[in-house]
Amino acid sequence: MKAWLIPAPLVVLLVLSALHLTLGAASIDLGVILAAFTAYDPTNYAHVVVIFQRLTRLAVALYAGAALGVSGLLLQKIMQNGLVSPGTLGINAGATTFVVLGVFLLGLSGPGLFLPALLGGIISVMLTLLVSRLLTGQGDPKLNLVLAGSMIGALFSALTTFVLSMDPDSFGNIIGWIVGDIGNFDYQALAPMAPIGLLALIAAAVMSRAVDILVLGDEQAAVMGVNVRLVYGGTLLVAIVLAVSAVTVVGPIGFVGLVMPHIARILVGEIGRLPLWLCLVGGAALLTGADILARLLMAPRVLNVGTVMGFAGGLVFLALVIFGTRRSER
Amino acid sequence: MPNAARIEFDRVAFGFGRLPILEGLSFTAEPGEFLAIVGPNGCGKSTTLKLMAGLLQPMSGAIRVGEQDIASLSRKALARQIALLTQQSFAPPNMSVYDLVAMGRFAHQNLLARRSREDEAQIAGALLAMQVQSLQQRRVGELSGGQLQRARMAMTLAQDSAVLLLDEPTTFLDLRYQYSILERAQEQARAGRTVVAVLHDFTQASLFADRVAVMHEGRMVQIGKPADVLTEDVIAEVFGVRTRAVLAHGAVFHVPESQAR
Repeated sequence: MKAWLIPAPLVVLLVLSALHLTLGAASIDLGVILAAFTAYDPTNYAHVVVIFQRLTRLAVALYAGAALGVSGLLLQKIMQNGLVSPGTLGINAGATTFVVLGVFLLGLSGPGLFLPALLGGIISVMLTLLVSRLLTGQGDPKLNLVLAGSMIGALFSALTTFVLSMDPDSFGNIIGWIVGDIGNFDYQALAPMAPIGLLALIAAAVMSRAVDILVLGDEQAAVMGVNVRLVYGGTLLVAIVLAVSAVTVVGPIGFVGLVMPHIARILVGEIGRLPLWLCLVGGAALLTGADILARLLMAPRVLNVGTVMGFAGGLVFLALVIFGTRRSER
Repeated sequence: MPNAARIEFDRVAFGFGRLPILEGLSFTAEPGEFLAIVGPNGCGKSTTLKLMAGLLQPMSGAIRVGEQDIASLSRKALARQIALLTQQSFAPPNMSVYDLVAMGRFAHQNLLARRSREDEAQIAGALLAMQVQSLQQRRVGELSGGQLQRARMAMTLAQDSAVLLLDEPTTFLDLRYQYSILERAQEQARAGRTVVAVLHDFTQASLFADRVAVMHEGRMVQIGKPADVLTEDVIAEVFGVRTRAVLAHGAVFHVPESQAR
């Protein structure tokens, strides 16, 4: 057991969080940030920026990164496939389509969008699994699964574009959300997501021992006492809930869910709760770091963190497909 | 040692769709006994083992462990009674042997608790029984085929079940490791477990098993002491090949008639 890996990611996360609060269009001293927390002065402009802009932006990055990191780990473990993630299975795209439909048809907003997002996530995974089953017997099953995921993702993206084109005026706000712009998020949406995410995390921790045994194969796991269907289905649901709760707040963000499980696997393997912890804290750190970059790379212009993650994610995904499938371990 | 329990098949039939694979299968395996099941490919040996482990459900008839119908037991309760070493041998390469063996304790643990003293003791006992204690900190990916199979068998022993099922446990192993696995299986039977193994090799079956069951086209043709069952006539009927049987060193050898000199 590498004990230092328990506190180390927290230290990284704290440093990145502090940087996130200080850096930006205008740098704010750590002293001023502490003062904003301890002795908030509504007439001090810097205090207002810290609390209402940067802190909320940080909270969203932390939550979405952690949720997506854990979601990716759970998906990769139950599917025994290092290429799957909320992005590559089409969950993000499906959730996005249903959020847009929820806005367009039902006039929903904020946390009310969670349920349509969840429905979209579940439907997209079902379709992806169905399509990959149709491909059974031809090619590499692991590649087939992500191939199916990208087909379903493309279909949902087209559907999203179609719905948006029906009434462009009413979607002024949502464009920023669709490209994964943390700055443009709805602050009200985060609060109800936190308990949902917490519950999902507890469920993931409780099931982790059973999920570990699934790596031995379904039959071996079953004879060792694991209810394979229940554990698979339950874990899949938890992974979808985590991913769509992040999507509901910040829109679809790729990369975190794909790469964090690989980093965790290199550091501590995949058995036990330590990988879960690493993906939780590491996912939060990764998205926080990306958001710092999004604000600094083209300063004073602010990029969307979804764009930064999209570029990084695309490159890493390519590398994983080329190098990852050659190794037998996944 | 675990509680002892016999395994009983009571007129079990099984099939996929309308096609029957097993018909009227009735036999028992007793505590302290090593029963080997042999037969040609597709005769239903592995299916029998899967039924016994609850991975498949019979179309009719009942399978009992002790006095309980296995269909009435939850997955965990069944796993405390019956362990199966499947032919699926994947395990993450960067996992330690100790962690692999510790997984065998799943059926005895609740979801959140840490390993108990009982867990630790059973894991240590299983590592010792399979002679893999020196490998316990090694990674699974570094093991040879024989070492991995012994580690996997230690995992099933840690399950501390009354019944131990082995599905072709010696396939793909060097001769030395084949004997090692079968000797360990025999020891487990001597210690009071009910051991049932699907084997390919008659000689090995006759050498290590107390009784041999011969299966053919979904039926059990013979069951009894190796020398009584593994006869020239039975081999000719089941495998379609005439042989000469030789008894030597407590084992039955079969030599193809065309090659016998």
